[in-house]
Amino acid sequence: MKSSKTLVLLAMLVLAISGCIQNTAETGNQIEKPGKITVTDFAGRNVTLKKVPERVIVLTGYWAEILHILGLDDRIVGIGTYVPGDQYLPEDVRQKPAVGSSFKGGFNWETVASLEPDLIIADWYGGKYMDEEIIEKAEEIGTPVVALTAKSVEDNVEVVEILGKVFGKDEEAEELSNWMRNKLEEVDQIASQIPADKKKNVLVISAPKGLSGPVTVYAKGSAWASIVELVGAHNLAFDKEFDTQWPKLDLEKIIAYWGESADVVIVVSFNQEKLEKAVNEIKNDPRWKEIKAVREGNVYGILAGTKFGHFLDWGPRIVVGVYQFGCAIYPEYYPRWQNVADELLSFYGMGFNRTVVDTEGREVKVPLKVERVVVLISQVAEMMYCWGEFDKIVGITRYSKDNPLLVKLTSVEEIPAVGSGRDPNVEAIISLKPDVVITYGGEYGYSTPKTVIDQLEKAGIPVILVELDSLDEVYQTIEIVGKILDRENEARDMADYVERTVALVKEEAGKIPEDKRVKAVWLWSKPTKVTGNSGVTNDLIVNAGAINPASEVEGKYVEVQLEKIVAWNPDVIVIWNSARYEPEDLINDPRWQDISAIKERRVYKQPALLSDTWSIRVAVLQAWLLDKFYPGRIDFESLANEFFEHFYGVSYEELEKEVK
Amino acid sequence: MNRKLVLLFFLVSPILSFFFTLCIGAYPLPLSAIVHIIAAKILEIVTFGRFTLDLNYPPVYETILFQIRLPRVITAMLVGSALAVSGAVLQATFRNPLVDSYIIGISAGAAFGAALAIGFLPASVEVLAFVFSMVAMFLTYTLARISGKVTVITLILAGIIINAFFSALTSLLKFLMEHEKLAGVVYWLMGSFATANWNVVLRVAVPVIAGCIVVHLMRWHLNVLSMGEEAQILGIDVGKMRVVYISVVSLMTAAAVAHCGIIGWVGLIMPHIVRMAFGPDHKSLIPLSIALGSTFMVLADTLARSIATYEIPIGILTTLLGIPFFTYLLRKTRGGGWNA
Amino acid sequence: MLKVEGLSFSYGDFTVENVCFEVKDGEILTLLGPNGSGKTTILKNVYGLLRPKKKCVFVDGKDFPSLSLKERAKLAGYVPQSHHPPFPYTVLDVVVMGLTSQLSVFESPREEHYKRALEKLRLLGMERFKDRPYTQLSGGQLQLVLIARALIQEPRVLLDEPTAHLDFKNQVKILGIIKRLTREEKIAAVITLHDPNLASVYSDKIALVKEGEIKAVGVPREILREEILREVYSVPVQIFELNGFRVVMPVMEVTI
Repeated sequence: MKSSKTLVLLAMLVLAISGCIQNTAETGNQIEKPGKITVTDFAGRNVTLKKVPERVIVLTGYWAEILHILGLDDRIVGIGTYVPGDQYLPEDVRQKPAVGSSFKGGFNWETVASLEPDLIIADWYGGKYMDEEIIEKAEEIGTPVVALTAKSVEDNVEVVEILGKVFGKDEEAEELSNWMRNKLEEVDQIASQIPADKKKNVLVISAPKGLSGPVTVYAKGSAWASIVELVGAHNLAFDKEFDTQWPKLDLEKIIAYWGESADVVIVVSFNQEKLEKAVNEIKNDPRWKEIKAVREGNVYGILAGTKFGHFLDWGPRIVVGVYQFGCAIYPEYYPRWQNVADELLSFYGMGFNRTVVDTEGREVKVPLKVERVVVLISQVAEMMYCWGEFDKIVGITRYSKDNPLLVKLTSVEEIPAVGSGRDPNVEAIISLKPDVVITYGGEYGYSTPKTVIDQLEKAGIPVILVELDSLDEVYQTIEIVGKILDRENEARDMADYVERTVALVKEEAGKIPEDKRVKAVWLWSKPTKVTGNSGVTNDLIVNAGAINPASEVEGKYVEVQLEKIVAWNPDVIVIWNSARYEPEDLINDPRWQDISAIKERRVYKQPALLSDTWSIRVAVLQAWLLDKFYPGRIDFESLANEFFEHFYGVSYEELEKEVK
Repeated sequence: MNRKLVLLFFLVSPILSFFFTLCIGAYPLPLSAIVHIIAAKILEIVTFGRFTLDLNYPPVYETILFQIRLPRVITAMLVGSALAVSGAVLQATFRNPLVDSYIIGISAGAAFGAALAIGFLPASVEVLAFVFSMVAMFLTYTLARISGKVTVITLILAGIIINAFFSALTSLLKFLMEHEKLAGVVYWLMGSFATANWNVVLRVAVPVIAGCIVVHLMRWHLNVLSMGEEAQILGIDVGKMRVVYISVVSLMTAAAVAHCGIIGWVGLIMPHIVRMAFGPDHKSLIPLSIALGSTFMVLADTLARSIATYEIPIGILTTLLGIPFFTYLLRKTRGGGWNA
Repeated sequence: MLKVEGLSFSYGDFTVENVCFEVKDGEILTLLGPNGSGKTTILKNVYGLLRPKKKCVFVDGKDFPSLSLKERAKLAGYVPQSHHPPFPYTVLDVVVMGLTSQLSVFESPREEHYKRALEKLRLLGMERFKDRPYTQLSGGQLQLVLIARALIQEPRVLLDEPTAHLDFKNQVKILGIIKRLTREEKIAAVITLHDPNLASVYSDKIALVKEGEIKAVGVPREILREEILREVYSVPVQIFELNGFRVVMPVMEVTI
């Protein structure tokens, strides 16, 4: 019942909207009689089709994407030269025979004819390139052509509707065009909220080949150029008249025209590397610094084209491009464009996100390209450092300043602290616009409260919960963080290395005969607070082949009577690194004198560099314990040096000197 | 019941519980060994070392008894009497049967000092806890005098303010702390005798015994001081006397709290029990509070360390034992005055 | 002998101006006046609990308020108007507190001190209450205990505000006892009353107090006059004479 009602409503809506379009659209399309379809294309031609096309050649990827969304993959029989590069299209479409392009290399009409198309979808550039020729030739062989273009963002919506009409897929087309319109309306609304005194002057350029120019400027007539106005800013190039929408100007001219007025420069490129390079060079070039926006550091790159993750292009993806412009020019007004991208890509049947399952078993959607991360666990930040991803951290736990390794090796103190796992500053995190927040799960004192997670998720920020309180959890976290950062190989290596180290220790420990095993206790903040039968430290003691006599007591940290420790008579005593007493304090204490570990002077304080059982360094701590329990079993020094060298690029020995 | 007999029982109870608790602990010591070792020790002390018995026990037995149990038992007894005496003194001074030594900010100050030491400063917990409990006490008194005259009301109000102030500071420190250190602070706040050794005994004993002696000598004047401002017409300088009493008991409790953490309800309840059994006259109230406080504390500590394999923080135990008792008192007096 | 010469005091808006009177040993002087007229303030100034502006109170010629609290406690007994018991001390314990001034701070009262307390209780007919918690006494009995506490060290001067919360029987009883004791022990007593008839019967001298000023001092026969009482109490009164005492009656303004 409900679904049929919805259908009726939808049908009425579609009718109402199509009515509007007929009245308002410049290039309106009418139905002449049943079976016959007539549309007016962007070249102003009336195209009449006898029936719904069955065999279509589509010359560009962005329009092919619309056909793909409308469920018309199987009607595409031929494609343009560049369509195979469109990563938004399914593989089978990209493998269709290519017939040529409007630009270069001409057109293989023989192939066209052999494909027996009943429609060719081509671009219209006002007759500038080969567009006119293609139409003429096609008509000669009796194949109708629909010529499409996008001089404005709005044009792309219309293309969707025209194609819907052509293929009798109005409903599907309306769904997409409605979404596009809604999103653009939202942009309109946001733009209208921007006060006049905050209106920014923007210049949109293509990533230049050489810094001296010539530089392609997006001017009047370019849909991308119009986006600037759409998001509420002013495109400076609109103040001048050029003979093309893409005038090439040298740097001198650009400085002369707009040097003092440009607040923001947006650089556009089809290639990520080129774009990053261009933005970097522009920012640091003394000549470009003549431009106000460059001086003030307001140069932003936006990726265009058909590579996955690039959105600025004709076709539906331009809507995301609009939000990208909005976020670049007015970050304080526009929501995360990644969420818009995700909505759009659901039409394509893909996600812009990948789904990561965290240690709580929550399925969390995380952007494929994570660029900004808030890390509320310093040990995770450490992993990111090992993979060269540290610069992606935009916000970090305030406890990171207590992590000797991060302080020593990174510029962690310059990263804004946003509270800690148990008390994050939600507003600060949201204002950093992270792609993902990684924090501590579970229900411990240091876990992030559920309410905070809710707030972050409501703000559209994915939250990944991990735990690190056992080796297994550490491995799991390595895998999860690796997946988020697209460092799965490195993550596997890391987990393997850590696991290997622990396995080595266990193997050596396994060789100790039962009667030679030492009794070892781990002491916490005070000498009578011991590790009981659970927790990482108990595992570590057992893994290293010792007996923890305190395991008769339940718990991770338990307070016992001193005489109990005397009764246990441990052979080795290990003191927690942050404890405020030293081995000497116990050795000099008459109450401890009868304990074997005291008599034998086998009391050790956990080294500062190995003080963290949540870090991968726990593997080295494991080895250290074995070395203290059974000296000479392993070459601890070289094991530790290699481990630190491998992950942190500095040997254990060297670091130890500096941390102390 | 024979009042004299009860009185005698109260007065000797510390001695009984002292020997009783010496026999209890996690290390399995045979009772005969304990008796032998203690007897030998007493003999040695009494004869100034001229007679020694050669006992064939492992040396660890003596360590357990004299280095571990004895200091702990003594510390518990000292702290118990310190808290009970200061409770009694402050209840008289403030004319209010519901105060204990924490009302003047001692515990809040000590907690702050301990948190500071555990989390941030390289100073000993005991020293900072002591220093800040005295600072808190001093601030309470200064604040109470802000309106010119120290009255019971201004003192209690000032106590509330200073308690709140230091609690807030402690919360701030706890907020800034790593969770491992935080656990240390939380544990300290719950109180424990686990770290007691002879140094602790010495540092607690000096102020506590001195304080007990002074208070015992001055005990009868507490009757007069409890009359409030009216005590002036009986010939004593109320303001000065209050300062003397409060300073003495602050010193005692600060020393106790600094070493053993915050142990609640002992100071509140022990004087009550004595008052119910023997009347409010401080001539008897003070010595009986000392006896009962030390007995109660050493027994509670024995309970704390022998209920389970791990130790239950003594502060939790005294509170859990104290609250039912207090409820009983409330019921018995029908929530009305404690005077009726 | 107590002599007050020009006592002045002010606290905020409230002032006591130029109070003068003299009480001989064995004599009772009553400060008579309506509530809030300053009777208690004058009494507290006399004892030195409040500080008068200049030297003006003399007991046997000594400048009384400048003496230490201890010396003052030895010379003068003070019975406060209201008393809030903190703990249920026994009657004997309370009376013995009157001897505080004779003990050093490290001393507790001994057998002899308790004996003296018991004697005072006997004098006031309260001996049988000695072990009773004084919180369980009636208002009149409590008053007697506090008088016993004030008299235990044989003071030269008694300052008392005896009858504020008592019923008629107890007022008469306590005033009778005060009268007897002052005569027998040769104590100079200053008491406060607001009933002119009680003052007329028990006083040797009356000082009429209004708004912090003494309007008149003298023997009851001279002081209890219609005009002056009307001025002090702001109500019309008539004076009758009965058995040599002056009786003050209100003038009924409504006819029945």
